[in-house]
Order: sequence, then C-alpha cells, then structure tokens
Amino acid sequence: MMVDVFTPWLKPVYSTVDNLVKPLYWISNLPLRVQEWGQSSVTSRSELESENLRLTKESLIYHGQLQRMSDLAAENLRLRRLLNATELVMDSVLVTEVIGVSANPQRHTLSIDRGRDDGVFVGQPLLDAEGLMGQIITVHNNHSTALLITDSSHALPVQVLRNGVRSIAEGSSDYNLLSLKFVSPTADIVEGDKLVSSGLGGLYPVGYPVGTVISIEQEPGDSFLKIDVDPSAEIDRSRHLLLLYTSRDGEPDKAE
Amino acid sequence: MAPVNHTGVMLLSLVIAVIFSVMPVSGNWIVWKPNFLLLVTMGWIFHRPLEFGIFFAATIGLLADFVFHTTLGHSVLVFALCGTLVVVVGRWIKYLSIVQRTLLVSLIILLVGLFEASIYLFYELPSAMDQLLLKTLFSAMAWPLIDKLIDRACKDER
Repeated sequence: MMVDVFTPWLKPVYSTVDNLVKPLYWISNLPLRVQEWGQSSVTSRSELESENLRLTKESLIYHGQLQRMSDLAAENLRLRRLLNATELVMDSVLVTEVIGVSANPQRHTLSIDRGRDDGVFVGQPLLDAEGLMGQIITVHNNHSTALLITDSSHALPVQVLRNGVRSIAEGSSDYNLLSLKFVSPTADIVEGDKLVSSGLGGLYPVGYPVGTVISIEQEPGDSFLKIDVDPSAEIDRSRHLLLLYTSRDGEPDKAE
Repeated sequence: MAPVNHTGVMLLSLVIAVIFSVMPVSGNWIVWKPNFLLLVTMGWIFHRPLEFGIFFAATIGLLADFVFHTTLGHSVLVFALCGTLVVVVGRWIKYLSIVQRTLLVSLIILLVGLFEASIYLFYELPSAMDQLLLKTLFSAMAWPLIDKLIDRACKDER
C-alpha cells in the first residue's frame, strides 16, 4: 500500500494489467453496442424522416450561429490585438467513446477507446456535449483512462461567467455534485450562476462550461461559503466524448 | 477417483465477473452495482472450501486492485476479510436453503461494505455509506444466480 501511494514503481504493472484487460472492456461494451445497433436497425421510415428534418433544421440554426460566432471571434481578435493582449486559444477535438467505467464507486474514472496512437496525452482535457468531464491520467497504445471532475481527488480552477469571480471546484465523489472552495462570504455569487473554466493552472482552457451553482450556505464560524455546483457535463451518462487539443493560432500541439 | 480441477471454470467465472464489473452503466447504478468479483469469489469458497480459501480471496483481491485501480492492498484486505467470514460460516452452508444462504451472503456483504466504508472514512474520503443498503440488496438479488451457476459448474465437472 505504501509503495503504491508513495512511489511510481507499480505503474508499469498497472499499465500491463490495463493492456491485458482491454479486451474485457471491449466485451463489456457489447450489450450496449447491440442495443444501439438494434435501435438503429428497427427505426421506421417516418421516424427517420422526422429525425432527418429535425437535424436539417438544427444544422441550419447552428450554421447561422456559427457565422455570427466567426464574426464575433474575428472582432474579438481585432480588439485583443488593439489591446496587445494574448490571442484567443484555438481548440480542436477528437471524438472518443467510453469503453468502461471504474468498478469502484469512490474512484471516478472511465476508459476511452483512444490512446497514444491517436495522439492522446496525459493531462488532456475531456469534454462531452454539455461541458468539461475530466482529464486523461493514463495513456496506453489504443486506450486511455480519464479522471472525472467529480472524483474527490480532482480540483478545477473556475470562474463565475457573470462577473469573473474565481474559485476552485472540487469533486465530491458524487456524479451530480461539485463543491466550490475558498469563496468568501462577501463574494458576489448567487444561486443559478454559471461557472466556466478559468484557464488558471494551464491544464484546462478558459471558457468551457463546468456547472451551475445550486446552493449556497454559510455555517456559523466558517470563513468560507459552502457552495454546491451541479456539473454541466452528463458525467454518469455520456458515452461519446471529445478529447481537446489546445493550440494557438490553430496549430495543434504535439502530443506527448 | 482423481481429484477434479476447477481452475479453468473458476478462471472463466472470474473473467465474466470482471466484464460485468467494468460494464458501463449510468446514474445511480454505478454506485448500486454489485461487486461481482467478490460475489464470485465467495461462491467458489462456499462451494469448494477445500480448494479455495482465504489465500485465494486475497489473491483475487490483489487482482482486483490492479484491474480496478484501487490502492494496492485495499481490495486485498476487503476480499481477505470476506474470504475469512465465508470460510467461518461455510461449514454450515450445505444445511441452509437458498433463501437463508442469500440472507447470510447479504449480511457478509453488508459487513464488508461497512469495513470498506470505514477505510474510506479513515482517509477522510466520501464513503457512500448511504448507498450501502441498496448495494447489498442488489448483491443479494444477484447472488442466487451466481450461487446456482457455480454449483452447476461444480456438478458438471464431477
């Protein structure tokens, strides 16, 4: 136990075992794959047509928003250049799929089907469609392990979207709860405030949704507020995720 | 008559248990999901006490530490405790009905769960104590099937 906690000597053993049990992860996903295949195979023509129509409309809306976004991004870039400020970080993503979750409910990790061969690296941020999910902690040739933001050992620098108040969002070993640390009772933060990553620490890029403040309490005698946050990402539900490659000026970083 | 070796079928059952343990589930099922590896280990000790005992349980615990990325020694302790309890009560198991056996297993799972939670509390980690009863309930629901399958596997090889 001491060797495992205080030294990295057992990491090669963990890595070897991970590679050995990779086929078991693949097999454990078969029922879900069969279910997905079944659902997609027995869809009626009318359902497909209505879904196609909905997706076409959504695509049109998103294209419209994207045009506005690119205009805003260009304007933001011009203003930042005027202020001699650092240019915005450009991000690219890689789609990945969850192939396994930790069998230990206290340890919030999951395995994904991308690894070193796909350029995945330790510390790489992981997103779902709604917000930040976590970061990569172990990379193998063709799969990786990610630590989720709800794990009790995880902390993430955040800021309130409304006014930029900074804090640290810590995991609580509950898939639906984060807690904010070191927020003073005089801080301007209210229930319903949206939190985004602040970019401090250099691991997570700035501006990605983290969660929404759901409750604020002050215990008598405590120097800081007790703030609960509902994570934006569907931590315990999402199956298709995005690996984030952060780069400046659109140039992808070299994967480690 | 030559002694029957159950190693092959035992290994297969452990592999299946690992597959069930790492199977992605969503929502509260993540916390409620039974520890299939522990249940299968208990099943083998119950049905083959002369072949599998506390050392076997501790070895599977070591395997669980590596596969599930728990701190080395954590599952060894949990599985060894569970193995000890099963060895102690195992001598009476053949006189019990399936319902009584399930209740006994539930009690062991509950005790082991409390022990595991106390380890987490010792390290000031969240223990998920409030989910323990439901986890025990789902383990109890899975147990009759595991018990039956291992019993069948033992009979087939006789």
